[in-house]
Amino acid sequence: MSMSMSRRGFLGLALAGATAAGLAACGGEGGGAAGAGKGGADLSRKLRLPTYTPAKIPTPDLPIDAGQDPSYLKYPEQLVRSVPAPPGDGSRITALTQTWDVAPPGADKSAYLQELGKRLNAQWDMNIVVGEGYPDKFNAIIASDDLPDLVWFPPNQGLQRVPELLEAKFHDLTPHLAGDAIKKYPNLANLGDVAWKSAVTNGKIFGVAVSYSRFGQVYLVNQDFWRPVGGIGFTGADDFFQKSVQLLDAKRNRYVLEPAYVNHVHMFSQWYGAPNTWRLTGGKLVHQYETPEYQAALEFAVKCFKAGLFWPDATLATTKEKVANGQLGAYVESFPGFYNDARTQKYELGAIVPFAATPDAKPVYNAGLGSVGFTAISKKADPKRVEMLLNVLNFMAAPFGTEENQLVNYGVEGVHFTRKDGELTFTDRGAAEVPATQQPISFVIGSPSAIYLPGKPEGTRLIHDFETKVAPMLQERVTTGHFSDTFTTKGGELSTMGSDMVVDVVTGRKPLSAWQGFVKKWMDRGGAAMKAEYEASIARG
Amino acid sequence: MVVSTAAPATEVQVGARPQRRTLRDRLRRDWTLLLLCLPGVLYFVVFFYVPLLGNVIAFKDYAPFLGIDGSPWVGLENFVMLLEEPEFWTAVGNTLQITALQLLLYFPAPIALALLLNSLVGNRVKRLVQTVVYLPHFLSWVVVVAMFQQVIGGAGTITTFLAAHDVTIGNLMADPELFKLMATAQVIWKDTGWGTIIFLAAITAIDVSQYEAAAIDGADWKRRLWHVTLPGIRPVIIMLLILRLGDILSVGFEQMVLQRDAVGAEASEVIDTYIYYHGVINGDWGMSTAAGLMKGLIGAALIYAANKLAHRFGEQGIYR
Repeated sequence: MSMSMSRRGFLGLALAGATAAGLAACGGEGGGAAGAGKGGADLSRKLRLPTYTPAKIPTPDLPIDAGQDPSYLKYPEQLVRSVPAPPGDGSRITALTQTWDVAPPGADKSAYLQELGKRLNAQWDMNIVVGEGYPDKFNAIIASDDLPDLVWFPPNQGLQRVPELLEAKFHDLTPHLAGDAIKKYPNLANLGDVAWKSAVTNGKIFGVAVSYSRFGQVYLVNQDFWRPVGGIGFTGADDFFQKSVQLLDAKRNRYVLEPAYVNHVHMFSQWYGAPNTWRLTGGKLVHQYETPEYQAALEFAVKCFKAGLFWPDATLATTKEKVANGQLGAYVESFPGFYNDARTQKYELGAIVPFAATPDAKPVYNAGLGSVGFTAISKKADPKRVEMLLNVLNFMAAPFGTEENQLVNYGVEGVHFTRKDGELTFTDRGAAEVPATQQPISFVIGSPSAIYLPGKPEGTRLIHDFETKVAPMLQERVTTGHFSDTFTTKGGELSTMGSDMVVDVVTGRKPLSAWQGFVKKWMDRGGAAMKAEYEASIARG
Repeated sequence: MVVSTAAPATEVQVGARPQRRTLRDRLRRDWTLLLLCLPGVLYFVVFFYVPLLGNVIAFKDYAPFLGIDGSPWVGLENFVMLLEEPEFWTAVGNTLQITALQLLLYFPAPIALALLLNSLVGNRVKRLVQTVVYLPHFLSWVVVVAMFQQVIGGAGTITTFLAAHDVTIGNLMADPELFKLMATAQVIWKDTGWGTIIFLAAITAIDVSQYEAAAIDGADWKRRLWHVTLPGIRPVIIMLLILRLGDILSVGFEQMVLQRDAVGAEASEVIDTYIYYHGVINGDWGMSTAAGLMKGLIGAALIYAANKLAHRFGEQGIYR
C-alpha cells in the first residue's frame, strides 16, 4: 500500500535529517534584527585597551623581572584583601560555562557555593556543559533567546558570527573598561594587555577577558630517559636526532617521541624559528606553512619518523604512563598541562628549552593566547546590573595571594582545606567540592597565572626556570585581537586540512614535494582570504 | 449512493459494491482504536515529523542566532558546494567501498554464526557461547580500536612478539591500503554475535516437524540446512538486507575518526566524517543538513527499490 510506503520513506528521511536539523528545529525565532549581514572585521578602529595596573599581591619568592609568572615556593602567609565589600545585590547571577571535570554538586549541597554566595552577596548559578558540546548548547541558548547574565565565548570552538551576535545581544563594555575606566575594577585592571586583546571585537570590548597563561606548548621529558646521553641540552637538530637514535630500542618497546605528530612539528618549528602561526613584516602577513623554517621542521619530523623515533601507533592513550616507566622520551603539553604534570607526576620532569636547529637558526618560543576567550554580559541586564556584574567578576578575578582568590581556588579553611607548615591541603570535602566547582568558574573568569605547587617547591622552580629561559625568545601571535570572517567560517576546516596534511607527510603517506601544492590549495580554500582580512585589520590598527 | 447511511450490513457482506461510509460514521465506529493510536502518532509527529521541517535549513545560510526564519535563503548553494568538492567524492567512494566490503564479508557472518550456534546441542554451552559473542557489541569503538591496536598495532603484542623473532609484519593498523578491510574486520568482530539474535529467533520459529520429516526422508544435515533452515529464515535475511541498504551511506563515524591519523584522511574519510570536518566543525549547519538530506533520500530510494525488487521475486520484503 502506498500509504505505508510514504510513511516509511518519510521516516528514513527523518532519521537522516534529525541529527543535523533537530537542534535547529528546537529553536524558535532568534530575533536578531541587528547585526545581520557578514563583515565583522570592517568596524575595527583604534581602541584604548584597559590600562594595566598591577594589583597588590604578596611578594613572589622568585624573580619576576623577565616577565615570569609570580612564583611561590610556599603558600603566602599574609593574604591581601582586594575587595572590601560584597559586590552583589543579593540577586541570582546566571552564567553559561563548561567543564572537563564532573558536574559539581548543587548549591544546596555545596558549602563552597554557599560561602561564595555569602561573600558575593549573590547567588552564583552556573549552567554547565560537561565535556564536549559547548557550541551546541551555546547555539541552542542563543536561539531560545533565554540568555543568562554571563555567557562565555571560547576562542577556539568555532562559534559562528560572533561579531554580529555580540552587537545584537550583548553589552558593549568599552565605556566601562577602556583606558582608565577600568580602575574601578582593580582586579580586572590586573589582567594585562595580552588577555584583554582577545576580548576585543570590532574595535569594542565586548566582554571580560578570561585570563590564562600566556606561555604556550612545552616539550616535556622524563629526565631519567635522557640521562644516558647527557640530559636535554642540545646543540642542534642533528644532535637531538643522534641522541634520540641512541636511546631508541624498538625491540624493547622503547621509543623517543609520542605520536602527536602535529605538536612535534610545532616544537621543531620553534627550533628553526618559524612564526607563531603568522609572521608580520611591513604590514604583510606570511603564514607558517609558507615559510622555509616550517618546511625544515616538517622535513626533520619526516627524518625522525623514518628513523622510527615516534611511537609506532598513531594514537596513544597512556603517554604519561609510558613516559613514567621509561618507554617514551618526550611529549608535548599545554602550559597548564606542564603545571599539572609538575604537581602530579612522580618522575623527574624536565622541559626542553627551544634551541637553534642549525647554526644560523634563531630559536623562538611561541606564546599562547593569554586567555581562554571572554565573558560577555547579556543585554537583558540593565546598566546598573552591568556594573554589579562587573564588580562580581572583579571579585572572582582576584590574583593569587588574596583572600578572594583563596576562596575561589581552595574554599573555606577548616571545611575544604587545612593549613599546615605553610601548605594548603584539601580535605575530603574540599577535594569533592572545590576543583569540580572551580573549573567551570575558571572559564567564566580567571585570575592571572601564578605558580604555587602545594608541597612541591622543586616543581615551582622548574616552571619558573623554564619561563626565565624562554622569556627572551617569546613570540606573540600577531593576529590576537584582530578578526577575520574567513577564520570564523572556515577556520575549523582549514585547521583540519593542515593537520591532516602534516600527518600525511610526517608518516610518509605523502612526499614532502607535495607540500607546495598543498599550501596553494590551502590558500585557495580560505588561507589567502584570511591573510587579506587580517592584514586589513592590522593596517587599521 | 454516496450518502447511504442506512446501508444494511448484509449488503456489505455480499460485497457487490464497495462499502461507502461517511467520515463521521467511521469515526463513531473506530474512535476507541483511533484514541489508542494517538500517543504513537503524537510521538512520531513531535519527535520525527516536526524536526523534519528543520531540514529546510539545507536551503538556507543558517545562523543559529538569526533562527530558521531569519536566515537568508540560498537555494541549492549548499548542495552545489558539496557536490563540487573533490574530497566529497573521495568520501563517497570510500563509503561505498566500505559498504560493499561489509555487505560481502560482514552481512553473511551473523547468519553463519547463527547456524553454528543452532547446531550446538548442549543448552548450557550454547547459552554461554551466546553471551560471550554478544559482549563485544557493548564495547565502545574507542575500546575496540584500542584493542585491535594493542594486538596487531605497531607496538602491539603480536607485532612485538614477531619482531623479537625477527619477523616484520609492519604496522597493520597504519596501512592505508589495508584500512577498509581492517575496518570491516573490526565490525565483524564487534557485531557478528549481536547480529545473530534475529537469525536465531527466526531459526527457532521453524517448525520442528519439518526437520523430522526431512530426516525420515533420509536428508543428512547438509540437506536439512539447505532445504529447511535456510528457506525458513530467508524472509528475515531479505528483510535485513533491504533495511541495510537504507543506511548504506552510513558506515560509522567514531570508528573512522579514531583511525584517521593512523591511515590518513584519504583512506578513512567517509561521508559522515566529511560532513563533520567540513560542515559541523565550521558551524555550517546548512551544508551539513544538505548532506544529511541527500543521504536520507538515497537511503529511502534504495529501500523502496529493493523492496519492489523483492516483491518481483515473490518475496515478502519489509512491507507491501
